[in-house]
Amino acid sequence: MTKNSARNWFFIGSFACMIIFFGLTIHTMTTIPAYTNSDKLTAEVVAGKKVWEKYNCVGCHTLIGEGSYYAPELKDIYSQKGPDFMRAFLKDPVKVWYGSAEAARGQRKMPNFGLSDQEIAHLVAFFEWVDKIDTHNWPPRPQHGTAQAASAAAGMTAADPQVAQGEALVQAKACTACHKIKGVGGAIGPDLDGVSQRLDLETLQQRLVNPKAVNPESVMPNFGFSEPEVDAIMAYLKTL
Amino acid sequence: MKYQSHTVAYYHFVAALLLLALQVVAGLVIGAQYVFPDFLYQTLDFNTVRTIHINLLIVWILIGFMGASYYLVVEESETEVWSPMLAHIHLVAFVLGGVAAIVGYLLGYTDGREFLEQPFIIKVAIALVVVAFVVNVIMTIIKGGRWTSVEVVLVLGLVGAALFFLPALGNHVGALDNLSVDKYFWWWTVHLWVEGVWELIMGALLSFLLLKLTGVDREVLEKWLYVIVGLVFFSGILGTGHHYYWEGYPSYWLWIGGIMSAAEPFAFLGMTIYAFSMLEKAGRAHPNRAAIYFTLGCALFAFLGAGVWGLMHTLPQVNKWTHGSQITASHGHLAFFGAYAMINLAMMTYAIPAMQGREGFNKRTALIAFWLMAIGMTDMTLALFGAGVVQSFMERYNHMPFMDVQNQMWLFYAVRLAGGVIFAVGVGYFIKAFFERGVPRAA
Repeated sequence: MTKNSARNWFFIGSFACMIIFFGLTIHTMTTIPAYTNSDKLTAEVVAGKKVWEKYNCVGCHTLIGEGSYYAPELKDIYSQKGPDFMRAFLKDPVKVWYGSAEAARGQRKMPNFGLSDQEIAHLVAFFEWVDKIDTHNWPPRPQHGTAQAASAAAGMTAADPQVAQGEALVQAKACTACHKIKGVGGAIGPDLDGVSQRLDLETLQQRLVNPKAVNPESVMPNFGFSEPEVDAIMAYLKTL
Repeated sequence: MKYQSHTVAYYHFVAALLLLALQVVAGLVIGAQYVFPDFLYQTLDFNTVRTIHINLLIVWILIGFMGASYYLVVEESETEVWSPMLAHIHLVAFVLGGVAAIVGYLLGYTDGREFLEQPFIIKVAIALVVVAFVVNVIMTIIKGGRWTSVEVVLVLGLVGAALFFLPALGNHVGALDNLSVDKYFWWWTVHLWVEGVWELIMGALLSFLLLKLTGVDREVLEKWLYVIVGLVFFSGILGTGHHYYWEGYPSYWLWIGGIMSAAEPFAFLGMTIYAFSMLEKAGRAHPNRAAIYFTLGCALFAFLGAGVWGLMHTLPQVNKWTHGSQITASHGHLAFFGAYAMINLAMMTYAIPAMQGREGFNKRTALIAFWLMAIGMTDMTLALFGAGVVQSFMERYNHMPFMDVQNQMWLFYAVRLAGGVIFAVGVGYFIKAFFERGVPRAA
């Protein structure tokens, strides 16, 4: 091979790769609306992206895996933790996560950016939209089937329809974002295993109806459960 | 100095080196925050310092490239720089722009897109600086009256870098309101710089150093330059796909990105073999030993950092678990150091003594700098790699909560901080070597 043929190879190859790349780019752009539900890209979502940028959130977090590795990935934070938790957390991260500034000493923690309620609402809308981007199932999460199999293996009795309804509610409201159930879940609220033995049932019920009625300092959101829902959750908690 | 306009290169190198020192200080702060989270909490938070750390990296590498390019074209074209005045002006403008951006971050002004956080007005200023620089380089070559292959590849790299900066300017375009569209074109600047056109610049600089340090036949060297930058560039362009796996795009990117980026290590291996075999061919040792260390170090660390460390997590089957973990940080550190920091340091180690008419830097100081930097960076890379393996397994595979995993990784971060300190001392030695024998003066 001579220098000239090497040079021609370089130029022609680069040009060809560029052409293929541009072609694929055009095709990809036509598919993005479907992959990202762009019809749901409301003004609120866009405003949320601006809030995300304004506070340089990507300087600590990753979003779909890109950013910094100091703080958690947020692609599916909406389905993992739910909007109530997010709103409470963004208002006062240290208090919600660690309980107090004392407890947070020496721990990694998010600064309080003093976000307004509107900014928080926009951010939550943004994350709700991001959550639904089709990312070929990234980040990997346990499949629903596997979770059911695990419950079955743990001897869970979903035979009682009230218990099953309670378990479904606990999953739907992502209680494990803050509480541990069978060793899995967050550390913000108390462990729920055996909670029906630790607390008297009346207090437990009151906490479900209005968390602040028992403890005004509680950061647990009021989920507005109906009476039958509270009964169902109680029935489920008694099985733990 | 043989050419008056080498002072242009000299001042660029001085600026680049001082910004490198600042980058390392910022790195030590965030490295310390991983170990002691209360350090500067709510005063100088991680996100701000991390942004400063990486912005300084980009700016010093670019200013280093500019200095190296001026040095190279003057030597290759055997003529003075077309407009030294323009060069001085754009250097001052670039440094001021960079400082303004950093002061802005400290005060909370940011565009909040990773690496491209500079406010729009500063991005425009940077674009103008780059245009002034590219024009100056091209005019110098035209003035010299001949285009060597090394210059062709260099200028392609520089023009490419300017062109692929354009998508970065579009952060107020409505289409980018969609995060997936935003990320798509964000990668055009980020990936096509570091895994595309910057590699052309690096290839040209590496070839220039090999020419100077070995005296091998130019025809042979330039032929291999085209072959290797060709491999690097082809795999780099379509290899962009390895960033498009999980971002809301069609699944063909998993195939294209996986296959093309898996070819990248071969390109880097080619570059390493190229550097080592050219030196072998020369058969005689150039008296500037430190420059040879940094040149070979560049080729070797680029292969390890960009090639091997990249290959480890580039296939979608692996990347699914490692994406967004400390594995990326590990790879990023070694690749940037090997490919882009080392090539700049090698150019400085060769060019400064050459301007002064000396054999080299103080050999002892320069080699201590080399080894401390190499050891410090290896330490950081391995510590972050260990952290990344633990994180991928526990968080991604076993679905443990992020902070539960992080709390178990303290030791990795402590070891990384120690590596950072070693690296910082190495940078200190390099600065000492750089200034130890005074400022080059016109002969």
